[in-house]
Amino acid sequence: MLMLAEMLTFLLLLSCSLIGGYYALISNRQKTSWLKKLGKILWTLLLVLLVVLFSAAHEGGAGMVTFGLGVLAIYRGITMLNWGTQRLKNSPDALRNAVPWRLLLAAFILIPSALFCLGMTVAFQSSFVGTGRYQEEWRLERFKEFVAYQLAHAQLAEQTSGRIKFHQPSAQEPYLRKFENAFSEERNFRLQLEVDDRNGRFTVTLPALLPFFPYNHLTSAPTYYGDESGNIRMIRVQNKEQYCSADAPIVLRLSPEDIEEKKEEILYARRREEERKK
Amino acid sequence: MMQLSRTRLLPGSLLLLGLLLLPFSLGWLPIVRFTAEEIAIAVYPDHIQMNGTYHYENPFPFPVTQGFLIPLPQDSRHPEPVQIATTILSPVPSTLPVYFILGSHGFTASFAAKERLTIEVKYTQYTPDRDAWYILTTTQPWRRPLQKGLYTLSFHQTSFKTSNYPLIQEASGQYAFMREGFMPQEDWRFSWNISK
Repeated sequence: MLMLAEMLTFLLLLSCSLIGGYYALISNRQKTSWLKKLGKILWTLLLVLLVVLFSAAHEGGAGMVTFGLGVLAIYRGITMLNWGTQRLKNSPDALRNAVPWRLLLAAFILIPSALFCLGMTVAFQSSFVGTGRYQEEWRLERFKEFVAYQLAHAQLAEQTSGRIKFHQPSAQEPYLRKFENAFSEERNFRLQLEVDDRNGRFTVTLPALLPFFPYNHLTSAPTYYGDESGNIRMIRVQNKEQYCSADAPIVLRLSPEDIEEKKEEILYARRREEERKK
Repeated sequence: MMQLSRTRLLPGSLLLLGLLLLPFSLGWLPIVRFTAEEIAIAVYPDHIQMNGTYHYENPFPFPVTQGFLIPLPQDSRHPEPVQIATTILSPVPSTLPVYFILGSHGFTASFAAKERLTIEVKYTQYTPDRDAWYILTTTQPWRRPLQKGLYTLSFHQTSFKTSNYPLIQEASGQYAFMREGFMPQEDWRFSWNISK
């Protein structure tokens, strides 16, 4: 995405400047020798090459280049807007060859487009759709663990007391909060859990994590649904207020091994708690 | 009248260059070379786990960044694969973030001059109908046949049923086919039975 934003900003800068006649006006204003012009051309080409190589090297470089291009594009857009309005009002010598409607048209295209591209660099930074805990794979893995944990807790309770009991934060088992806290601490996790112990049912939903408007419409993100069946369902949404439901396609199914593993973890946590109390 | 030709030459050239480079930098068109792949699919009763190892090479004497799309086999009977993970295996192992944009999963990888990268892509797909397919025809946009392709099925609590590419049994519960100079014309489709 950063590469897209970078290329779009670069192309917008060039094309709108050409549309507005920016380069011709600059050339008219700066009376230089052919040698200086040649030097400027070579310097520009070298700079472009270095920028391309730097941004190709890693994501951070691309982000910086995109931001710099965006600022330059907005500045140039404001410059052309200023020239266009000056030309409309009077006829300063330096702008006598300017065509006002071209400058204004270019400015009205360039400024909002550059702002949009700048917004992309923020919206699509790694923190939203990139690495670590915001990755789809990581979120699904944590969600799968949570569903397995609920089933494990309920099965252990049934073995012990004959009654199914899913886990909800309670004073009786505070040491088990970590299983839920690990997933709900981050604001972006926002698990929605509903428990019905009497009927042996629970549902849990993980909302989608999306970049802010309007960039959410350039992508989509998964929202998940899990319940006592051990099936995990998923749909892709562009609105973070839209949640997966019980009739969505199944994308993953918990295995008995997944639940047994969580039982072991719960029993271990309880043994540790009992030892701590002694 | 404004000077036209000379003052527009450089920015016009850069604009043209940018337009030409755009499809490559976005991964719509390949700039690196795709040389080989090893696909290992673990088949379970109700899902498969695909583990693909892909070999790429930057033929240029300068660094490039290549965008890649991850084509996923999905339709009304095969839900979207999940647990998609991408990793550089060599030369320096690292995780690559996977993004979802304009309807496709993808990732980008930076190549040093003349560098070769081995990239692993994994996903899991729920397959209630006990059949699946792996997309092979996306090799065609790379414009060159694969030097080598190795495709393996390993069966876990399942047994082999059908495959549109003939398979050779390599070990108990493991079947494979290999191709050299491979430009696939059709995807790989296979099915299985649940072992009793």
